[in-house]
Amino acid sequence: MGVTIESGGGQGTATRPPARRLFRPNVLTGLVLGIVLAVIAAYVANAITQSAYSTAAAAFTAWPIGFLVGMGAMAYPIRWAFGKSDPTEEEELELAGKDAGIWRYFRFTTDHKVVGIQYLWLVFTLLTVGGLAAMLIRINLIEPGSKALAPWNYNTIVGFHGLAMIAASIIMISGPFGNFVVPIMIGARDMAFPRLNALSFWLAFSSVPVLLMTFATGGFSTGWTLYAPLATEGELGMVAINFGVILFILSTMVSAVNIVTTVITLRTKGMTWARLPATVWAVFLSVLLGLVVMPSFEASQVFTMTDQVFKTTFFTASGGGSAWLYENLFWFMGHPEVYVIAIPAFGVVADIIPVFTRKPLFGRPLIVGGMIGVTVISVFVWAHHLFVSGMAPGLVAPFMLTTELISIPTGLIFLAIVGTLWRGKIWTELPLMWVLAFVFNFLIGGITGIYLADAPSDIGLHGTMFVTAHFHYTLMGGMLMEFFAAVYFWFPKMFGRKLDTRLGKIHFWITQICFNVAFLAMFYSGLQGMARRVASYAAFLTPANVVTSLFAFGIGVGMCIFAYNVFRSLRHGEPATGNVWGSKTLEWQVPTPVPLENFTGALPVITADPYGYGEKDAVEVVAAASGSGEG
Amino acid sequence: MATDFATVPVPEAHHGHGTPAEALQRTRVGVVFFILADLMLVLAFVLCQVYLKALNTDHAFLPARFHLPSALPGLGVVVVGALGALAMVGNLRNQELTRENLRSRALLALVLFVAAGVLQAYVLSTAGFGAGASAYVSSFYVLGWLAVVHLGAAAFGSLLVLGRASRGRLSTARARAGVEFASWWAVWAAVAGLLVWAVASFVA
Repeated sequence: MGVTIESGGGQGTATRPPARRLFRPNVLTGLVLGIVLAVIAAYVANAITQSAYSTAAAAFTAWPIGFLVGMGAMAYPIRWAFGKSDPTEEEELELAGKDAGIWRYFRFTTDHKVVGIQYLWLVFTLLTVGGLAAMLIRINLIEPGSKALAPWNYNTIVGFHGLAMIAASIIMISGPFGNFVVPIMIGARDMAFPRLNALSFWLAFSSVPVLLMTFATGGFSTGWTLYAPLATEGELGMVAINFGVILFILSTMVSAVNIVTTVITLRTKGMTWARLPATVWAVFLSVLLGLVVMPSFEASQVFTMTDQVFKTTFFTASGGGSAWLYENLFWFMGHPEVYVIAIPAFGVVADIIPVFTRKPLFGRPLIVGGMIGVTVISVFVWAHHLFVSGMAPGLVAPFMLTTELISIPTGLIFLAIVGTLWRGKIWTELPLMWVLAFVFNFLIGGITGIYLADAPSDIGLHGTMFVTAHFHYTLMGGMLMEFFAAVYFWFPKMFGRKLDTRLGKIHFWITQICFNVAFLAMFYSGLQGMARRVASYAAFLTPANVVTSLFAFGIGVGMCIFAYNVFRSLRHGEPATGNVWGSKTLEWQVPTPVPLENFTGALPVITADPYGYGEKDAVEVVAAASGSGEG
Repeated sequence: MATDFATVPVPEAHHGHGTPAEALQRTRVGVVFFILADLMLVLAFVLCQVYLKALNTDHAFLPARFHLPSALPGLGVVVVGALGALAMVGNLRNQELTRENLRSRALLALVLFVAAGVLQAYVLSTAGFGAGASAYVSSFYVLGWLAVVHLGAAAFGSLLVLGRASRGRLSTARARAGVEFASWWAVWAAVAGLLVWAVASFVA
């Protein structure tokens, strides 16, 4: 029989004495065992091989194993190996975080809502670290020939900024919201494999210290693309990056399998594919795409690591290898990865706009079809990044064509967005403001991308700051703005309090204005020929760089306001226990805080799609919100 | 969204997510996607060797001083691994898992997977390639160790099933699902081993 937990059961307070908790598997025991195992492995490897590369590789291999064992991630397999019976219901609920209070965020907890919030804090952390690196970059570029950073350190900071931000972007929707809201949106009690869910988060978590170890081992000079042959030419710091990236990819793979399986098998009665909310479709397609393309990147990092540590020659021409092979392996992931990031944003936009225009989503099949189209075409476009690499001229036109083709499904999605806004009763709340910013910025990012998809213009612009500005307009102007839309939209559901609106608007306008000025100036620098990933530039580019740097610092100020808003609102924000936006998707029909099993009592039966705003026969969910989840 | 919360009884607890049949279906879907992800990784490894062979920069893919190792020991690994998978496959067709037959199959599979892994490691360590790598040697080793990882994972799965079977705790949906997962992975490990062996042995 099902376990009935009263509203708020998942948010219970800790009853076990804190001292006793310390000795149960948790993040501290994980850290201790991980570090101990890493040190032992490094010592043994060094004694045997006398090689710094082997020593580093051994330590970075041992670290996640020790960490995960120390976290308790292996408890269930060990249980199997010793032939013990299945955990009791009470043990399962305890593992899911029942009555564990805030402690559940620091241990191997299976509840998808806990994992979602853990992911949210991981994204915040990555954005903070990456953002600090961005500030350092802009300090260095505020004048030509600046000595703020040594060129070598500048390269490391640039590369780390890129990696941290890309990692954050990959998980920024599918991690926090894919975990927290998607299972509720489809009417499930949890993910298909709750333990794998926790494992995916802690794998991602364990990759961060490994990535940071690059600073302790000399850094790396390749930028975030980690291009060979530079990557295989003896930088010890690159080994840390290789292992960190491999761990992160493993995490995304595990998470992807879990989300895909959840959406396929755990939809509640009546939640047909045709009624699936756009966010669910988007996260599903995004992780499915990641499942197909990420292994290619994983292979590239394995080969780079073995070239460094075991002296293989995958990317060394003198040994029969090819650096161009690396470029293909990388970009086969690298460009679809843009859509791994973008597609969830499309879905979130599609779910937020109808709420704040109070009208049905226009052209819902266009959005879903557009997202499917983007998913499929995105795996055929990678070589447009290689136009200047010396690739066969005969390949240029086909890849130009496929890259241009992808604008068609993207255009369908934009058509549906604009169609939904058209003549809607616009409710200018913060989530919608961020969505509108996404539309504006992503449009600029998309249009400037055309010049990089066309070989004649790309040859001139390749490797310039124009490219940097372009992908910041898509990833930061587009996806990050959408992340903020999602945070402002779902924060009340996740934490039971609204983010402060006044601070939110200040955050919004500072970020929008500063972002656009900073990166429009960067477009200018790029068009004037300023090279990216170079610590200095010609003197005549100083004014544009000063503008970019000053307004980049402005973005930093905006982010500080956001951080203050988050911390302040967690304690003092306006309580939000009901359906604060009047949304019709399922996650807003359950109580806040969400019960441990999401739906107390019966699961919902779905009879219509979630976009029936303004329709006479649609259920007015606003009125039914407070108790409808109680069954 | 129009919802009706008043119907559909919910027999499952937090970990159950529905009937045993649904739990089994979930496991099958999950393992298929795990295999899909791993297939993409294996394909990336394999296609890299095919590409480097086709490129053959400065005839350095396999320089003259290198000799190709015999394909027979690798074939032996494939055969032993496949026998291990066959031992596990019986579990997929067996609706009523009994303690005795599952224990014997899991034990046999474990022994065979470990043997295949050890044999593969032996093949790699005695391949006889001299100093100085080439792209072929690089691919040979990486593909070979990839097979060891697959066999290791299959052996681990067999070990878990064996532990469970030894105590006879097989009646729950979770036990059935776990056995299915380990069995499907064992089959995939054998197939991947065959693919890897074929490429490492004949694309040179």
